[in-house]
Parts: sequence; structure tokens; C-alpha cells
Amino acid sequence: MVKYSLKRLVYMIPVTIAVVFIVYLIMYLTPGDPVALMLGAEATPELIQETREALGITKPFLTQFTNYVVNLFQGDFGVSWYTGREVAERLFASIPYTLILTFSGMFVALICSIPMGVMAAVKQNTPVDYIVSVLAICGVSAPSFWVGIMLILLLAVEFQLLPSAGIDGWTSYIMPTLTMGFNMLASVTRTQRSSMLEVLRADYIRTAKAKGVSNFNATYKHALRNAIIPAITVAGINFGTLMAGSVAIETVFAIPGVGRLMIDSIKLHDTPTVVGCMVFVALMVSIINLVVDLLYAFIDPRIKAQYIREGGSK
Amino acid sequence: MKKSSKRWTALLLVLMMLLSVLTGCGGGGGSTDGDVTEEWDGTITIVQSSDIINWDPCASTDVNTKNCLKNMVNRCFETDDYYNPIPNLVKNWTNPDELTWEFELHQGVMFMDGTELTSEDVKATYERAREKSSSGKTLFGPVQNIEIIDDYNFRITTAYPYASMTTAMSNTASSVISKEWLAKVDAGECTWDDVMRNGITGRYYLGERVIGDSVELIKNENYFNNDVDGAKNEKLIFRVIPEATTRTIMLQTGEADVNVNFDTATMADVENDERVTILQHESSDIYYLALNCEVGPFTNPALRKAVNYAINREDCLQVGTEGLGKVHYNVWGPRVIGSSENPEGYSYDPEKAKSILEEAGLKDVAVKACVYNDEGERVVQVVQSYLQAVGINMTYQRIDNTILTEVVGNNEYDLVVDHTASYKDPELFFGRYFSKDGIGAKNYAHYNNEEVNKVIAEASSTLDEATRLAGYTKANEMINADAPWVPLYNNIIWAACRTGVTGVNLSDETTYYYHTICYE
Repeated sequence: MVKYSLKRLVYMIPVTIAVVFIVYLIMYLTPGDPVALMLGAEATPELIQETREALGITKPFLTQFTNYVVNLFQGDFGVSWYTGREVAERLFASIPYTLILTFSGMFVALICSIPMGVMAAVKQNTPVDYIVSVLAICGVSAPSFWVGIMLILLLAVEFQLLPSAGIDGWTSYIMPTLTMGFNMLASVTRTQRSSMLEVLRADYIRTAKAKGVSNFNATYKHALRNAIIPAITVAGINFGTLMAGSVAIETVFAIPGVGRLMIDSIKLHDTPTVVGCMVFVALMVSIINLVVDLLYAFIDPRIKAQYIREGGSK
Repeated sequence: MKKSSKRWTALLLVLMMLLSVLTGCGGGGGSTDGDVTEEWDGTITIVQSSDIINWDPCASTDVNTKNCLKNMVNRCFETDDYYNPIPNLVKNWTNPDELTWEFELHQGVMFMDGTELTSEDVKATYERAREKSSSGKTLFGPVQNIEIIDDYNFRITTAYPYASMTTAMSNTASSVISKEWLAKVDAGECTWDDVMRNGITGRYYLGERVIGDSVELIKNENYFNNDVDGAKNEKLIFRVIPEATTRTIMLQTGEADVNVNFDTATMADVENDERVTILQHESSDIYYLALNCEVGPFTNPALRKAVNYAINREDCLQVGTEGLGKVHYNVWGPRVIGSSENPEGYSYDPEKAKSILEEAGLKDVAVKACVYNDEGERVVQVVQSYLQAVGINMTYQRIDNTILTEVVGNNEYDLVVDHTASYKDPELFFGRYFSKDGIGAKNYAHYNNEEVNKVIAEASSTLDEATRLAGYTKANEMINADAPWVPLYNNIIWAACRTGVTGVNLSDETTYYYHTICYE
């Protein structure tokens, strides 16, 4: 297991380089002049050119890219082309907000969606199933920014229970977390429901019930353990979407997270900041995928044995 | 479906509808949530759309950063709501001759670190601005020498009579910072946050800052002029709220007191809400079409004039700002020295446009335009239809604003939709918009008329107000006659505050002083 994990961690290095390459290339090819934006209307063409040279923007792509990667592996994310400040300073200030938001959203989604999916499967074609299905459809179809604004209107403006935006204590995270969780809740619930339905029809569940195992134990002890793997896979895949979705939520709720930083930087063509944000997102998605793979091993002993075999053989 | 199932589904739908109704009904009008005045603790919360970029006055170009800076860092001159300089750190000044300015500073002006402001600090600030700031280079361009007479007196000599000296000294780039702290920050021995807590003399100093979220400014109890124009509040909190709807909601809920980036798209949500007061100020900026005078069909002055007659500016104003503004016919803003309402007499007259085109033998003219934002795109569609009506075919392309300067500089378009900032003194914007120095930068019309340059240079080279006014008026008329632009309208500057809040003074500069804000 340890070997397997280490191997996966090593794989993150080429993944990170590939992400940096792609993002850097896209930013390089995208027309735009960050210096003109930075210097404002008063800048002369000479000053714009001088600043471009000082920032190294005039250098060829491969030179810029190589310099960036070398510095990155020394822990240097570079300097923002727009603010002139260290990218790491702004990025590390934003990371906690995004992590709190994403993990709390994921937690809420999982806590609600797995029992809901199980209930919908167990009570198939009953009102419970229909309610869960309607909620799932709403969750998938309602855009995050709309859900966010509706929650603000209801809970902040109408009932004045929560702050409408910004970071002002833990209560500020309630609405963004609910908004974020709502979208993910839908897909995990649907996956959980369908995989649970499949498992509940399996022979070994029927056998267990025939041997006198109670419905509750058959469902939650035997069926759920097998049926939860697809839901965890979907949750893991959705983690990346959740981080990407945090852009809209961070904007609506004025949370200074990585998503908002990334969008602001894209608008300003601030390549070092955009790449820094993408490196963070790529690393987080890679780590979560690793965690998901390791979770399989804890849930399913067969997968654990497979990991051990693979780790030992190489 | 079973009967009971149908009942459950119906119940769920009803619940959802109820929720929508409750949500939809929110915010409309006038619920009272306590008397703020009685509970007011002296804090004013201001919501703005973006964060502070950089505290360095020489590197700050965005409005929201300048907004904060202006309240913390003094300048020798401040400006009133209409861009007129008024003395602040300076007590008296004289002009022994047209090339010399002598200034006397107030005594007893203390930096936050307890040291006293002297002429040395002003000199260090201005020399740094000249070296490091693009606007500083322009503003102090004519300055030849800054000489210290004593601790409280300094002398500036200029290469030619420079009437805009006091305006230059009121610019953000001229914000006076302690020489000692400037040296430290430039040497990397401290941060700009440290400077904003120690090396400034303003009405406020920097308190807590959460990057991307909020900035706190605390009243400076030792501000030298506290008795006369000190802060009426104890603390300002600037909160970064990018979403326009959320900023408006925060005013309604009382989480914010002032919204300086009020978006008129949210006007309908609050115009009948007694908790919120909407504020406006007629701007001196201009929304305009720049016509390329260097390359392409607009090198023909007759075509430029025809276009000025062909477009109904009222319609442009309506689609651009929903009618919230004022149509404008002059290439200079309403309060610029030497500008008059409509010097060339342009108006919406399609017949006159057609006859000018006919006289000039212009047929089947095709022009290519570019826009870079939503407002521009709405406006250009109206322009397109009016030009079509007089026989000019216009196509347009929306481009990213970051490449605007480059592509326009390369003469890739004949027409650009843009807007100016507000200005007062032609000397400070003429070069940028109407001279060869600005081609490749802000002179999107590629306009350059040596005669006009001469008139401006003459008007700028005297301190005599009457001569300057005459020169600028003449230059203004000449440019309007050349028609490098089609001025369309002036915008309104909008803000909103909680009802009961007073002292929010909007200005042409679009950056504001907040020390006057308090609850009634």
C-alpha cells in the first residue's frame, strides 16, 4: 500500500508539468497584453515595451516555460504580472477558503446523498423515491450561482438569519456550503441509488435474507459496502468539478478563494497567477483521486489485495 | 402511479412553489430593521467590486486601490468634487516667476511613526514618482528641479510655465510618504502594509487586512487637521464583493453602509426601498467613437463629419446606459477648461450626413469597428444601423480589452468604441488622446494636427488664466472641426448608501474621500 501510494505521488510530477505546459501555452497563445492593463491609460508605448521586457514577457515561449518550471520546483510560483507581488502570497492566502468550502460542500453532499440514495433504492417507486429523484433533478439542473442568490434572498434578506456575503465567522460558510453541496448531492444520490438497486438484487443479498439476516443488516451491512464504491468514484470525480464550480460560488458569496483568484487573473492575463492556481487545482485533484483509490482498499478487501500485489511486483 | 404517490408529489411541488414565492417576494420594500443611528459604533462599511492591488501610489492604477490610498495618504493638494485642487499639506504657495513655484508646508504634520513631515519627504516622494510612475512621468515631466529651502519650504522650477502644477500635486502618484519608509520599502526591508501603518500622515491608517476579502482603515487621532476636516467616523471597512447583486443586497440587509460600485442593473431592486438611498453625480467622462484619421476611409474629414451627423446620440445613450446619462457633442468633457456645449453644432441630421457624403463623392463606404465590452457592443449595434441608413456599411468585432491598444495601434480597425476618464486640465490629457505621443497608446483616433499642437503648447506655456482659457477654447474648436471622434454621451457616476448615511460625496475623479461619512 505504501509503495502504491508513493508511486502515485511520483506520478503527480509529470502531471503537474503537463498541466503547467498546457496552461502556460494557452495563456501564451491567447491574445492580450497584461502590461497595458497593468499600466493603465497613462502609459506610453515605450513604457509598455520596457515593462514587457522587465517582466520577461517578450522572451520565447520555451524560455518562459522552462524558467517557470525550474522556479516552481524550487517552490517559487513567480511574481504576479499585474500586482507585482509574489503569487505564492496571494495563492496561499486563498487556499484555506477554497479547501474549507470544497471539503465542507463535499461533506454535506456525502452525508445527505448516500442515505438518500439508499433510501430511494430501498423504497423504490414510493414517494420517498420520487422526492429524492425530484431533488436530484433540481440539483443537477439549477446553476450554482442561481441557488446561491436564492439562498441569500431567503436566508439573508428575508429571514436575516445569515450574513449574505464575505467572510465573517463560520456562519459565512453555511450558504456557500449548502450551494456547493446541493449540486454534488444530486449526482452522488443518483449513482448511489442505481448501484444500490443493482446490489440489492444480487444473489448474495437474497441468500443473506433467506438465512434470516434482517432487512436493515442486509441493506446497510452487506449491500451498502459493495454499492458505495461507484458513489465514492463519482464523488472523487466530482471533486474537480466542485473546485471548478467554486468560482461561481466564491464570486456570489464574495469568498476570496482560489477560484475567484483564478478568474480575476485570467481576465488580467496574469499568467503566473493563473498557472499557480491551476497547479494547486491539479495537485488537489490528483491527491483526491489517490485518496479515493485508497478508500476502495479499505472498503473492499479484494482491491486492497490487488494493490499489495501490484506494489510488491514492481 | 398510486394515488398516495401522486399526493406526495403534489405536496412536494406545492412546497417548492411556496419556497419560490417566499424567495421571490424578498427585498422589495421597506422593512425596518432597527435604528442604525442609535447603535452606530462609528464604523462605516463600504462594499467595492475588487480588492486592493498595490499600496504603492506609483504603481496604483485601479480606482478601488486609489480610493483607499486617497483616504490614508495626504497630498500637497486635494481635489474637490469637480477636480479643482485645494491645498492640504501645503499652507501657502507663490510664483516668484512663471517658472518657479514656492510652497510652504503646514508645521506639525506627523507621520504615524511619530516623525514630522518635512520638505525632504515631499522631494523624495516626487522624485520617486517621476522615476517609477507612468503618470508621475507625465505629471512631473516639466519639472526641472526640486529644491529644499528649509524643513517646511521647498521650491520647484519647471522647464516652461506649468499651470497644472497644483493639479499634478493632487494626483495619487504624488501622495506624500515618509522618505525613511520609502527607502525601506524600496530596499525590501519592509512591506507596503508597514508603510501604510507608519509612513503616512492621512486621516486614516491601515488596520487589519484580509487579502481578497477586506481592508480596515482606522482613524488617525493625530491627523494634523482633525479639528477642521478630520474623520467623522472611527473606522472604515472596505469589503470586496465582486457580485453586483450581492453588493446591493448587503445594503438592504444593513451589512454595508455604502456601495461605491453600484450597478444600475440592480436599480429596480432598490429604487423603491426606503432602506437604501441612491446617489449620482454627472461625470465628466465621455463615451465616444474614435475614427482612425491615419489609415482607411476616415482619413477623409468629410466622412468623419458625416458620421457625426448620422448618429442619433439619444438612442446610443438609451441602449448604452438605459438613458442614465446625458448626450454629448464635444470631444472634451463638460468641465474641461475651454470646452463648450457643442462648438461645431453637430446634431442628429441624417439628411445633412447624406449630403456631405454626396458632395465628397463617397459611395459604398465600408468601415470596420471594434468594441471590447458589453456597453460598447450595445452602442455599436445602434451606430451600425444609423450608419447603414446613410449608406455606410459597418462591421464590428468584439475583442479582448487586453489587446485593444495593440490592435488599434496597428491600424487594424477604422473605428473604436471607448470611453475616457474625467479630466479638468487639457494639458494633462491632450497628449494622451490627441497628439502623436499618444498614438500606439490611448490616441485611438491616431489624430495629430500640428496646428492644434501649437495652440495647446502656447496655452500650456503660461500661467495667465485668460490666455490659457482662450488657447484651450481655440484648440477645442479646432479638434471638433476635425472630428476625430464622435462623442456620444457622458455617464452618471452611481453609488448607493443606507438611508441615514450622510457625507458620501461623489466626484469627477471617481475616487472619493470617506472622512465625511457618518450617520445623521
